[in-house]
This record gives sequence, C-alpha cells and structure tokens, in this order.
Amino acid sequence: MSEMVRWTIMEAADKIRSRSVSPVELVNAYLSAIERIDSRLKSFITVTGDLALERARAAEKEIAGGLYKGPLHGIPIAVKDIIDTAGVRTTGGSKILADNVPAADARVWQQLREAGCLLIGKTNLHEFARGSTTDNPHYGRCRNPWDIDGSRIAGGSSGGSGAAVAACLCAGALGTDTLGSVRKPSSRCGIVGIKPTYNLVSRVGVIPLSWSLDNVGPMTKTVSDAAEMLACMVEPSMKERLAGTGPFLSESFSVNGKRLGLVNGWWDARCDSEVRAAFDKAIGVLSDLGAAIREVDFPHMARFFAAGRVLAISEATAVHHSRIRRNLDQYGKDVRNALLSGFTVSAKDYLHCLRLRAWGVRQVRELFSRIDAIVCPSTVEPAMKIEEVHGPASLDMAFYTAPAAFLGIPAISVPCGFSSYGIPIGLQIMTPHFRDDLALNIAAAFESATDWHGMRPPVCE
Amino acid sequence: MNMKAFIKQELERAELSVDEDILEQLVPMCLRWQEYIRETREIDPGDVEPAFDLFRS
Repeated sequence: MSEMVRWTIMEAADKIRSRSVSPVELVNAYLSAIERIDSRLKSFITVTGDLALERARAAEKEIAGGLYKGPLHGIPIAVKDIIDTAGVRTTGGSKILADNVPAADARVWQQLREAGCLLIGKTNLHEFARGSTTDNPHYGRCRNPWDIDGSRIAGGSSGGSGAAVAACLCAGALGTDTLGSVRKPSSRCGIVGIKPTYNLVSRVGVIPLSWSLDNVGPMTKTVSDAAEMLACMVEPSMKERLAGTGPFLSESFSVNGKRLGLVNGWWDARCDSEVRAAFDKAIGVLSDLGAAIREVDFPHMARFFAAGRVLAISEATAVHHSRIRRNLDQYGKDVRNALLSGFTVSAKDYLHCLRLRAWGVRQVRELFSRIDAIVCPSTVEPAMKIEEVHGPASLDMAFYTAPAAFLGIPAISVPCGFSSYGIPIGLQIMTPHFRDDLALNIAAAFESATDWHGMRPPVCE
Repeated sequence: MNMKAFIKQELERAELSVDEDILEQLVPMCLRWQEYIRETREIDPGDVEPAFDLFRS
C-alpha cells in the first residue's frame, strides 16, 4: 500500500501545498487501496472514483494557478451514506432509498467541498443509522479492520467511516452521532471522532434518525485533523457561541492543572477488564501531564443514558412512521423490530425525558463549575463478535456515549490502547457546551504523549 | 394486559399490523424500553419545562 494513504490530513496538506504531491496522485493511491481491501472490509456503499479524479484534476489546476484554499484543498474525504451529496446516491444504508440521488449537498458537505475536500465515496452504516454494528443486510457487513477476517464489529452506526479511515482508504470521513455513532466506531477502529456541541454543525440534508440528538462529526487519524475538519464544518450562525474566534487547537494549551472528573459509580460501572486496564493507563498519562484527576459525585449519568435511549427511539419511530407503514418488509430485521417496538413508548414518557434533559443541562453546568472535563471510557467493551450481539444487548453499547448526546455537550474519543486480542480502545473526554476547543485540546495533549494514534491495522501494510 | 397484547394494540393504533412471529420478537425490546422508562422516573425534574430548545434550559 502506498505510503501516501497513511498520511494524516495535515501531512497530506503540506505535500499538496508545496506541490510535492498532487491531489490526483493522492486520489489514485486511495482508489488502489480501496480496490485492494474493500471487497473484504465493506466500508463503502458507493466509491466515487471518477468524480474524485475529476475534482482532483480541478484542484491540481487551482493550486498550480496559485489558488490554494487551505489545508483541506485536494483532500479525499469519505461521507457516511446518510449525508446528502448532490448527484451521488444517498441510501441511508437502506434498500428503500437505493436509488435516492439528492439534487443538493447537505449543508455540512457543501462547506467541506467549498474548502476543497474531494468526495472519494459514501460509507456503509447501520441501516438508517439505527444500530451499533454496521452489519448491514443490504450493503454488507462492515468488518473491523483490526480483525478483517474475523467477526469483531467495526461499531456503528458510522462503522464504514471508522473502518475506512482506520484502513487508510480515505484521509478522513464524516459520521453522524445520535447516541455515540461517531465515537463508538472511532474507539473500536482506533481513530479519533468527535461529536460536537448539539447544533454546532448543520443537519440540513442529513437523513434524520432523532432530531433532538443527531449530530455530524469528523472521524480522522489524529486530533489535529479532526480540529481542521470541524473548524470548517461549524454552522456560521453558531460561531459566535464558541469560546474563541481562532483555531480550535492552541499551541500554548497545557493539561497542567486542568480538573478532569471521574464520575463516581458511572465511569467504571459497565466497562470490561480490558477497557478498564487501558483507561487506567490513560488516566495515568493525563495525571503525568499535570491534570488534576478528581472523583466527582454526579449520580445521574446512568439515568441520562436511559433517557437518551427513550428520546432516540421515540423520535426514530416518529421519523419512520409513514415509511415503515408503506415498506415494512423492506427494512432489515433488527431495525424493523427496534422501530416497531418504539410505538410502545408514550408521549408522556417522551416528555418526561425532555424535561429530564432540561433539568440535566442545569445539573451538568453546575458540575462544570467544579471541573473542566469529564473523562470515561468510550465503550463498554473493545468490540464484540457479531454473533454475540443480540437484540436489547446492543442498546447498552451506548452506556458511556449517550449521556453527552442527551446533554448536548461535546465529546471526543481518542485512541488509548488495545485489548489483548488486538482491538483498539478509546478514551472519551466531555466538556461544557461550546467548549469543543477544550475537548480537542485535552485530546491533543493526550495524543502527543502517546503513540496509539500512529498504529495502523496489518491490512494497511 | 400482557406485553404482546399491549404491543399489538399500540401497533394497531399506529395503523400497523404484524404477524405473531414478529410480535413475539418485539417483546424483549419493549421490556427494555419499560426498564429504561422506569429508570428515568427515578428523577423528578420538578417544574422544569421540556428541553424543546436545549440552550434555553
């Protein structure tokens, strides 16, 4: 595999800017890698090779002519196939939308495209983003690149994006996160993924799952790549809510003295011994960097997880009501069953959870007056085998990720180790609303003190 | 009313009809929703209004 595909976005950007490599060469390298691996990995639903090459040639001309747009110019990006791309089919991972070709780009993809990103393809996902395995009955079971011939899940619902970035089939990717669908596959595939503050990034042109919980987030090899993509993705009308006006990452940032909270009774309530061991070491690294690790009482997280699940299924059922009446037999079994079961949740219970959310936002603001960030594992276990995932058991996979979505706060997953069977594990960092910069800076400090982010699965060799 | 009958009733209200086999498959998931709902009821949010706008809370 060409060394080029192993570059981070920022490394590739340097080469493109200095014209030591052209976007056309970069796209060709990724297309060769996709050709070699993806029939096994199943991370893409549609590969847009011709389109990517056409846009790469245009980018090459622009750059040669002195019109360099910035670090994302000429960078091949994969987009989860639930985000509209003009002229390129957007299936939502569903058979029902197999021929759906949007006329316009989703707002977020338009922003990235205008910054110079090239669409290399649309990635596989759990059908309609409602699930955590990316075992898609219509477009194939996405494999975990660290276990490509085994049955460990890539995670989901943005499993294709996670697998494609980890296997070096694109420079970065877009995912969507309702209760953890960016962070869980990022953790399981050994990459970085951030769920931004709710509404910081536009959802216009993204097929909804749950209006009040859906977010679009970048998935990348490094924190600086994620920061670069996210800076471009911020909805212009939301910029004034952010803490600063400059780039998300600050060279002068230090973790020294930052108060990182371990929520008593929650952070270690569900994680297995493999995750626990990696997380303990990660906390040791942060402590060595000068962070003040504090145990804090905040006895609500497990209930926020439960309330997030109730909100998500209620809204997903409402989103799909008409479609499932018309096309019941076109849904895969697990998504069909989940959506049908959602009809048993009452409006009264949904509203109780929305009230709990308003209450929870007040509580977490108070918590953040005492600490700078909450740290916890990204997932309960590194990655289950697909045959171990049955019905309701998969719901609990979001135990550590759902609370941030429920509260609308930013949360990032960054690689922090490996299981004894070679599957990556992630550290999750959550910060106050609109302090996405703080989550990114803490993650960057952790990343620079460790080597996990530089490891690639054997399939990339 | 047992869970299966309850599910059937709610699906009919939503103008959906499914066979017995599917109804049977829905029971474990519906029981899990009830469990989650019970957990959420352990917190009384007082007079707080629903978070229709998250950042006005």
